[in-house]
Amino acid sequence: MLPYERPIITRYNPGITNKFGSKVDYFPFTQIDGVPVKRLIDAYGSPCFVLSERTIRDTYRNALRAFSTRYPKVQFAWSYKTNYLNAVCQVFHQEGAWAEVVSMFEYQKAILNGVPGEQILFNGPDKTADDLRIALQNNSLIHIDHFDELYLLSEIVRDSGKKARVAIRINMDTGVYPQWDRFGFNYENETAWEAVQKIMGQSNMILTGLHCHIGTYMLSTRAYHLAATKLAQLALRIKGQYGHRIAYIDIGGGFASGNTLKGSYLQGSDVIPTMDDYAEAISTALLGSGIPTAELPSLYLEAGRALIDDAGYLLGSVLAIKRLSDGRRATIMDFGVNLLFTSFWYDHRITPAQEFSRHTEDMVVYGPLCMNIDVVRENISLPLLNRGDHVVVHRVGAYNMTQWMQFISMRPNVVLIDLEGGVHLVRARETVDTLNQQEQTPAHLLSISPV
Amino acid sequence: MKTLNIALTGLNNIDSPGPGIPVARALRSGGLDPLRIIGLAYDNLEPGLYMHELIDRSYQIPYPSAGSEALFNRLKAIHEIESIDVVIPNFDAELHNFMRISDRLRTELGIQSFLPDHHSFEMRQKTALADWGEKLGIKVPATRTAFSWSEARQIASEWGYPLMVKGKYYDAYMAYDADQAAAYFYKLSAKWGLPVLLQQIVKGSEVNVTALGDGSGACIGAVPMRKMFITDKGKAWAGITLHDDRLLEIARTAVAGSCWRGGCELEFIKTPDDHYYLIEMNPRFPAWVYLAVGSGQNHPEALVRLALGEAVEPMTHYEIGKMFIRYSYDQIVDLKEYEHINTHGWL
Amino acid sequence: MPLCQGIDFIIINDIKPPIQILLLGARNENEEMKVNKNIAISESGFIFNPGTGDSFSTNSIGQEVISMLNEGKTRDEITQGILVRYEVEKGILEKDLDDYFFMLGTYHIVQNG
Repeated sequence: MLPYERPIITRYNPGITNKFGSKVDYFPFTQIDGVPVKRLIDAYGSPCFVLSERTIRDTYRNALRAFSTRYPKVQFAWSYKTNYLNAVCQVFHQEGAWAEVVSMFEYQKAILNGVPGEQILFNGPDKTADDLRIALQNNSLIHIDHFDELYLLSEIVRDSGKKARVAIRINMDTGVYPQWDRFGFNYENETAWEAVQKIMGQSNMILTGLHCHIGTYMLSTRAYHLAATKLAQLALRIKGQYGHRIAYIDIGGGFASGNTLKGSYLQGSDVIPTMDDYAEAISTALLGSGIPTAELPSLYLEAGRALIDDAGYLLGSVLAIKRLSDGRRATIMDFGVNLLFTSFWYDHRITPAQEFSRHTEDMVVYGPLCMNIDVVRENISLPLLNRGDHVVVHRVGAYNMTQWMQFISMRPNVVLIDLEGGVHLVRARETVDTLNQQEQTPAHLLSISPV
Repeated sequence: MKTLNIALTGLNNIDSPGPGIPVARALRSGGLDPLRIIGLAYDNLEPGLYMHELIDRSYQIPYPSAGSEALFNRLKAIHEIESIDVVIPNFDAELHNFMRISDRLRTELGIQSFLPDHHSFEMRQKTALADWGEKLGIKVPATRTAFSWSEARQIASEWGYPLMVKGKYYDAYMAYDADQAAAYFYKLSAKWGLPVLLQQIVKGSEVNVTALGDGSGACIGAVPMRKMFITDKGKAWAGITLHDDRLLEIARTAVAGSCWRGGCELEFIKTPDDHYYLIEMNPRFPAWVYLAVGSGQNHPEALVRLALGEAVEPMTHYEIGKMFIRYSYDQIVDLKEYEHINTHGWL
Repeated sequence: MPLCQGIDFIIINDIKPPIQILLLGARNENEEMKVNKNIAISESGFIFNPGTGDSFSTNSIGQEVISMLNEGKTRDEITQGILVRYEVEKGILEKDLDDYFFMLGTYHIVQNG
């Protein structure tokens, strides 16, 4: 018996037709770190997230090398919000990364993962008085976002008799649009300096660091150079005014991953700067800032996306293929925006996991939700797919496993492939019980019979 | 003697022509014999595909949007059949990918190219041109970037109309009032993304230079031309070589200041009081590059020799007052040929 | 049965003709479709419609289907012909053939005979 392929017919449209045109993949993607995709789906179901421990470690080590070969004191802090599965966090912690958290829930996760309190950077605008007390108790680094928080913390430290190690988050003009001025204190209008003065006036607050985070998916290394320069200038000004040395400059994250942004003409992996490019821009700014070598602050980095995106894959299957009223082909997958939040801004690369012929079809890829917004790719050229075929979505490690929605269907299994090719379930799929155990139904509503 | 296999793109010799066919013609009229020219095409209707007297064989290649990896894989497959010695990309939009894979092409496949490095490529981008010009002492019309229409309107009200509204990568429109400017702003931002550029109008005649840099700052050749007539698409219909030492000097400054490697086209406006404003520096040969050949400087041939590592003496002489007059020509093509490129991916 | 009652029945009756046509196009196993005159199909799967000037490409199984149509085979015969040679379930093949015939019709390559 011959292998079957759907009969198709395509019209040649001058201007868009070229059989080598928009095809990105020439070969199926049949295995991840040596483990067959089919075996993963047979064992863990479809859809299913897969994480490569090897890729995480390789990516981290490459980033650490890029920075530490250029700058003497470098410390990464794993950005929990990007992916806070414990297994993922622990790989980063084993590699030497601290924790960067933006909520008490993330803070607790870090503590439970065994991260020492003084190695936790507590960021974000949302810290309650209780949160601040705990952070203070654990000697964590508190990154102050606004004056209300500064005053609140000031009251707390006064009562506790402890000294708080703090940093301020600073926003600034780095030529990046839009300017992220909603977080922290502004550099240009001197609000940041005002915050510095207030902190320096408090005997029980130690201004330990200066922090900025200029944006996300940043393609310009120049903006980082500018940001690092401005923070270094502020550190020098503090030194000049108060004789106080800033221990670290936290340049945040926002480094781009190889995903392709919607509307980008070129592939993301072709246009993003390398980790070495970012490192070069930032370290040359700090080294050339005029801060004496012996007094150079540590460089803290909170990269998330660029460290984890490549290590994550989403495996899925074709539920149906159909034709839309305008003649376009549509493919319905068993995963949608509920699991792939990032498909709102990325054109994710999707590769079939089984052999295919040279024929391709232009299609729209939908998710399984009964919701019009559930579109994974508005237009993609893929080989002919049949119901039940498997596909692999690439670079999904960042944000999807934290921003996923348990909407209409539950979250699927997440597995990690270790360095030896062993497969571990790191988060079990949710079931109806996962939801129901949180719910409490009043007694009079327990039955469907009318009261 | 071993046949030299040269692959090139830009076979779209249509009313707004790509430079591929003029480059092929230049190579044919040079001293590179025996020579085989391999066309690389994006669209099956690119006329060069069917010009067998100039192009020996053509292949389809993936669109730039498919990424550099797809391009490399396709070139590798073509190379296995054709043993390409040199590749000459001729489109702006594909250059980024070609530059990205040029090292791999050379080391893994032995395919030479002669392209600018990333740094020089970036410094002449529209958004950076004004800064770059200032550094070199080359006048560039006042240019500002706008990320929103309100920002653009603000700039426009400072400058007044008319002004040029330009896309980040391509396209430019003259706007005579705020309504037009707004329409162009939205059109360009939708097509090419933000920012949109606003440029002050400089009045004068359009003069262009086609040039070749060796990558170390030397200008191997440069020929200035004035457009004598322009089509409704803004393309030259006819042009004439000029005697203009100052213009050549500015062109050499630009080539030296960017350490330009490869062919380029410099577009200037010469004002009535003899000031030269650089409007654009295109990172490839212009479609009128054959005028340089016709007036005594074969830039494409020199580029191939440079790519192959040969020493090439700078060319300074060219005939002044040589003209080009472009014409279009209806090729008669058998359906079999169209079928062949469509179904086999080569012709 | 609600469908047999009153108003529902009338509505069904009203739209019966178009439904029938749809079904004929999609499901009548013995229906004959004819490849339009002068449609040229080459060995490489290139199809040219001289009436419209359009050209198309089809894959090898599509070529087989068109050549079976040219031989005057019915849908049923075509389905059987593919089922005995290819690894495919009947239900899936029928759905794919429906789509293929629909596209052949849309592109004016076949007409229902």
